Amino acid sequence: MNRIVVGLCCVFVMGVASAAANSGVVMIAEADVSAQGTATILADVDAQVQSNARTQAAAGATAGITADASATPALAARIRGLESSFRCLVCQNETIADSTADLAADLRMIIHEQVQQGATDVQIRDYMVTRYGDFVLYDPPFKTLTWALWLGPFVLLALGLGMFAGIVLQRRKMRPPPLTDLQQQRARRLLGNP
Amino acid sequence: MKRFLLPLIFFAGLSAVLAASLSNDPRRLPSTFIGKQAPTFDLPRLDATDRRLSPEALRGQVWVMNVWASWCESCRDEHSALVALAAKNIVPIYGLDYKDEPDAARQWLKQAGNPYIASMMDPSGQTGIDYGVYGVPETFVVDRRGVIRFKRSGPLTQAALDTQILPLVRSLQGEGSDE
Repeated sequence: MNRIVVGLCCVFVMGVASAAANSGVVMIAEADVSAQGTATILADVDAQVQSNARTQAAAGATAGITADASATPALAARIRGLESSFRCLVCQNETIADSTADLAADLRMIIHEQVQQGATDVQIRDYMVTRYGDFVLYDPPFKTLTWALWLGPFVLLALGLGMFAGIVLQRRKMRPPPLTDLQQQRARRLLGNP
Repeated sequence: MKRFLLPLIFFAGLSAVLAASLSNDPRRLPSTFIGKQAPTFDLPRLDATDRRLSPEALRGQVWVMNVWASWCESCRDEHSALVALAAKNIVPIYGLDYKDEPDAARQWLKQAGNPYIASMMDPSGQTGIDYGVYGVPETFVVDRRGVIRFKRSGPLTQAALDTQILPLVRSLQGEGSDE
């Protein structure tokens, strides 16, 4: 019984570890800059809020510019799809389509203009990646830096299942130790068969 | 004993990964520009709008580009460090005035001191986007060949200047301008 519990624990730990591996990759990518300190985050956000306030005051509504009357529904859907495939660098957990950040509004505008000018999705993707790196993509490419991100969870799952199977098989092979004469006598007595 | 050891090792490993993540700032991103040619621009100067500035004109020297704006609160935190750096006359600092009102920008420099040899006006933010700017202030170090060698997002601190930027600038100034 104990071994099963331990085995299940291992599988659980593997699961958690695979989730950690996801952030681990990001960590590797950031390792070279992580030493720069964390004290400035709030200040940055603060500045961005300021900037938002300013832009909205200056330029009126900047969000939703993609709902331009000149765009056909198909084109609007394509623009929307593109916007949803990029991460907003300022709020990081939002797509460019969802974000209200100033920079996201600018990038929506750029996507919009490029689509109108006939740029392909690949060209727009390249435009973003040259400027902001793979981090801007919600669907990161499979390459040396990201292989752990893609494969890590499966490797860990396989490892956990393998260990679990090993423990179960081992348990199945186990035979109870033979009873001593005294135990056999006692067993017979208890079974009412002296 | 052995059956406790394995989960314990996993636990220790996991703790180490999570502990490392604690001190890791997810807002800091590696710049894709390190080692690449500084994107070109041709922008009017804040102090003399009829004159323009481009990275090509700055070839042959190591220079610092600081992205700033008068509306940017955290730019104020680094301003005194920039002014002090400029006073040392070690490296020319050029400003990129990102999405700003020229009058407000000039007013701010007059009031707080101007560390820049010149500032370029980028009212649309297009040059900022070309440089991958996502949070003002940002600072770039460009070498003699026009290649970006360093980027920092967020306010400069005296410590960052002393330990990262100045040593880099000195070593870059020692490099020749030709490959």
